[in-house]
Order: sequence, then C-alpha cells, then structure tokens
Amino acid sequence: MKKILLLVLLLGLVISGPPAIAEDDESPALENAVKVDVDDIKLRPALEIEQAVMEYMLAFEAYNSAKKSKDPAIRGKIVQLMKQYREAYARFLSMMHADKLYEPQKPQNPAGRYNKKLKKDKGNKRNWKPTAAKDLREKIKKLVESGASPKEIKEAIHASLPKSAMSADPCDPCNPCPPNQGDGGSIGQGNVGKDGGRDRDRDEDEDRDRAGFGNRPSPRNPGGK
Amino acid sequence: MVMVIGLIAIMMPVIFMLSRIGGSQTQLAIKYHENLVAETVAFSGSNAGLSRLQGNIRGYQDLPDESSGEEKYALNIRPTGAGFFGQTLYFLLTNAKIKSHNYTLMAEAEQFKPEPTPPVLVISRDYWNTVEPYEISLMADVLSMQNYRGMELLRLEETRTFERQSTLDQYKSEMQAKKLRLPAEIQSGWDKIVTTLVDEKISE
Repeated sequence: MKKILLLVLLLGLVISGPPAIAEDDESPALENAVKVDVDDIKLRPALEIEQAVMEYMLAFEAYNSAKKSKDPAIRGKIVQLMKQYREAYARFLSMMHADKLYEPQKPQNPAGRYNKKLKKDKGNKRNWKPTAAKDLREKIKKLVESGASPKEIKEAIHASLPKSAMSADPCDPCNPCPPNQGDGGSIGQGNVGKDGGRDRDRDEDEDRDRAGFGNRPSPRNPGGK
Repeated sequence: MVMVIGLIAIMMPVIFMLSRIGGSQTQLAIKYHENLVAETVAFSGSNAGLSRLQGNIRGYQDLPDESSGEEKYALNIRPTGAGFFGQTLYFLLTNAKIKSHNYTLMAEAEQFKPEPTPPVLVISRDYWNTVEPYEISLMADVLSMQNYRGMELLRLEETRTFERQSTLDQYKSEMQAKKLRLPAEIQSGWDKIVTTLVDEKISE
C-alpha cells in the first residue's frame, strides 16, 4: 500500500512539475520559422568577429556617455562619437553580410548561424563568451567624462580590443575531430583550457589583462607587464 | 427658469451643429494631432520596452494592453537569436492606434548579460515604422514586416556603400546636385545641410 502511495506521489510530482527546459537563445521560434542556407555561411576567425563586436560596443558606450553628460563641451562631441559608433557597427554588419551570417530580410541570429555551420562541419558548437565588458566600458566612460577627444577615445577603444579569441571551440584540444570542410580550417583559434571552455567567473579580469589595462600582478601575469 | 431651459434647449443643438462643422483646416489639424499622438505613444511604448530589457527581463514578452497617459499601446518583444557575446537579439515592436490612425514601430535591440545586476547594457537601432495594420503579436506578420523592412535596409545599405566609397568631393557634388529637386523651403538651407552631411560622411 505504501509503495502504491509513493508511486502515485512520484507520478503526481512528475506530472505537476516537469523539469524546466532551458530556452535555447540560439534558435528561438522566429529563427526556426525562416530558411537559412547553412552551406553558404563562411566561418571567419572568431577573434576578428569579437574585435568587431567589442569595437562597436565600446563606441556605443562612448557615444552614450557623451549623450548623458551635462557638460556642453562633452555633449559637443556627440556627433563625432555617434559617427564612430555608426562606422564600427557598419563594419561589423558588412562582415556579417559578407559571411552570410546576416540577411536584412531575415531576423538576426549571427552566433546561432555560425554555430549551425560549425556543427555541420565539425559536429560541435563554439562556446561564445557571454560578456558585457563592464570594466572596459567603465574605462571608456571615464575617458569621455575626462574630456578626451573623439580621436583619443577611438585610439583607446582600439587598444582595448581583445588580442586573442575570448570564445573557445571545445573540439580543438581533443583529437581526432573531423577536419573543417567549409573554409580550409581557419576557425577555432585561441582556445583556453583543456575542457575547451573557460572559467567564466574570471572573464572580466581576463578582458582587462588582455587589453593591457591595470598592469597589475596576477597569477598568470606575475610581472604585471 | 422656463426661459433658461428653453434657451438651453435651442442653443445646445446649435452649438453641437457648429462644433461638427469644422473647416477642412481644422479637421486636418485634428487628424494630424491624432497621428502625432499615435506616434508619440508608440515611441513611449518602445522606450518602455527598452526599460524592460535594461531591467533584465528576458525572453518573449507580449503586452497587448499597456497605457501611456490616457492612450493605449501594445508592446511585443520577440527574441530573434544570439550575438557573439552571448547577448540576446530582439525585435522590439510597439503599436498604437488612435481612431483610424495606426502606427507600428519596429526596432532591433541587443540585450547583454547582467553584470551582475541591472541595468543591463541594451543597444537598440534600426528603427522602422509603418502605418499598415500589422498585428505585432503574430509571427507571420512580424516576418512580413521584417521582409518589407529588409528591402528598405538593402536600399539603405546601397546608400551607405556609396557614402563610404565616394570621396569627399564626389559626395559633396552628388548632394549639391539634389538641391534643384528639393522643395523651395529646404533649398534655401541646403548648402548648410550639405556641409554637415559631408562632415559626417561615413569613411572606411
């Protein structure tokens, strides 16, 4: 009797509380409703893409900081900073367009489509690093507030771009993996860690190290170059 | 007392009739006002959507009956995919309808990951509007809007490519050549506008 009761209780639990299914950011309902020609997609090195994204993100931060400023001298730079943001985003967009990761008539899902192609070619997805580069954005914001010229801000943004890929291809360290049949194997560079992933809690610190900010000693950079 | 009631009884229909007979200019002004209010409410709704994203509210959101002052708007935030920094990409759709005026605003927004607390970095761009009666909560309508908008974006890209690839002199002369085709009100200030456009020209 007890066993039956336990069984009924377990069954009730299963029915009333099904495990939550994590939403797949890469393929929301809208993405599944459009046809994407995966074979046409070109996979360029992840570092190039990450640099382009970081550049427009930081340029947007500079423009937004100037927009929020109450200092007329800083607000006077809004047009130039907006132009820099527009140019940075236009570069990213044309990169996406050339790689067939973006088509204006279809909803945007560049990372999802990149992974779709990678999965088809190599059987795995790339682990894109989730970041909003808070420290770098804070640095740019302070630079804007200090009254730096748009040219100086642009140079600071270029100096802050990642020098090696922030994301990781989990397949690279473990051989054998099927060779890339799509673009001659130019992808999957700059992985960190044996597991193909990285300790995401340390991402912001690594951003700073990579960008050369801080110059403080760290376990991976004892000299604090 | 009877006289007052009699006066009201006569005057009310007269006042009502006069109020209905507006000049065409007045009616146009009322229509323009309604149109403007519909646009303003839609923009207000779009800003409310951005605030929701900045507040780290994630995933599909459909709010068909929101208020901005006395007017109503519908807000629909629909994920389209993922970006390379793990950000979620969205269509931000708002619709306001006042009498016969329909105004729909479509924008793209990217919502970055929290770091660790809100406000989250949100970048919105490519605002596009239509007065066609699209239903923003229907996927088919959204895809149709995207298609329409995409064609316009392709034309915009052509313009940007021209802007990027032409030299300052080429760009300036092309812009100056448009002066004769513009309305007289704009022609007078066009030289100044061209100077600003040339200053802000996209370069490589």
